Amino acid sequence: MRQALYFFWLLPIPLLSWIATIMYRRKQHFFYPVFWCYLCFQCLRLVIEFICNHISYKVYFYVFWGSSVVNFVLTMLLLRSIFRTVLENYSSLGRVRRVGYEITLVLVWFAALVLTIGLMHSAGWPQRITRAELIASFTALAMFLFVVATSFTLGIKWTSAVCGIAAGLGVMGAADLFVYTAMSWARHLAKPAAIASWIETLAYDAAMAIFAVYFLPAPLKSPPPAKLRPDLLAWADAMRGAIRR
Amino acid sequence: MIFTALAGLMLVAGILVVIRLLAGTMEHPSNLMELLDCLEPVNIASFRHLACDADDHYLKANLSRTEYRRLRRLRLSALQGYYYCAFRNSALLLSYGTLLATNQHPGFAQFGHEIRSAAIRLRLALLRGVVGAWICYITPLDIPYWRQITDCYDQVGLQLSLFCGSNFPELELALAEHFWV
Repeated sequence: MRQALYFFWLLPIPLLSWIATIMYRRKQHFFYPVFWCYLCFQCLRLVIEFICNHISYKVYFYVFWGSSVVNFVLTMLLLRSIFRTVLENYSSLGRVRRVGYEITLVLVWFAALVLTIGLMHSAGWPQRITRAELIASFTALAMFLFVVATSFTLGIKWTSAVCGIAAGLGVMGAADLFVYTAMSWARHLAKPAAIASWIETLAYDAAMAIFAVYFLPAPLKSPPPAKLRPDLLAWADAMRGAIRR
Repeated sequence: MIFTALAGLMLVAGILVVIRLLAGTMEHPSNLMELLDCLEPVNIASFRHLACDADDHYLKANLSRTEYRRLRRLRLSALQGYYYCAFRNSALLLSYGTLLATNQHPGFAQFGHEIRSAAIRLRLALLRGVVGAWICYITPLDIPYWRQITDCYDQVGLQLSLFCGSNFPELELALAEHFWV
């Protein structure tokens, strides 16, 4: 069982490095800089966490929770970049684009904080950390829903790459919220933690597979645009004028 | 308990949204003919007539309270029907505008930007209108924002009409059927 968990734990490393390399070679890291940084960070995180897991539990503990904080910040930045990219072509939505995400983030954060007060059975460190993760996962999923709902409500079409990024984040956010909500009901965290790590690992792998599906295949080469010949355009304009007269 | 219920709702919503994202977003008309095929005709003159406060005040003065309430509810549900059609049309126009904005012909690209801006203004007015209509179901207020909606809709129709007139004159009749311009 442990070997299988290690296998699924390490499975995304080659996939992530492949996606990051392919994106770099296609110069997509200029179009999606935050996502590219996110991929590189995930790749490094998996390697470092795996090594630390074999060094000592204490080191692994600090590395895991430290990287979880960085991961949360990067996820928020990624959602913010999606939100801004989606709305950037609409001048009438300038104010929403500038402050909408930040205001919603603060509101959701406070709502999560208030709603989770008194949720844990005891106030030990494991429970405190679980609560912090619960607030983070609630905020991440709520912000994901906010970004998608804003776009759907405004009727703005997304490119397939943005859909892929958002879908991957959605899968991870949903798994996190499910796991940490379930753990908030548990009195002892030892046994649920084993099941939780399986759910988290599989959801993480699924999210990375979604990223791979959207970013690894070569982009469809559209036929070269037929050049509009200036003489034909002038002829069409002349004909249009003649018809009107 | 409240948190768990809310988390459960968010989980369901999250899963549905992920499925929707993986399935693709929405219709994408690739040319004006396709756009006109997808658009639902909205008679903005009838809409204006239906939303007008003068009619509402006349009915309020001449009908019994029960009859007036029944009629007001019917009018509001008819208005919601108009809103939803216009809502769908605005999404299609946004999509078409986005496509056209990437066209290599500068005139078409310029029109794409203009129609996209007009469609998002219409969309925002419609959002306010839909919320206002829902409030009108429970309060005796006049129907709000309908003037902005009709103005925005006329603006979109006028822009499309000008574009058709200068580039696709054969589609002007089909466009007039949709926008009554």
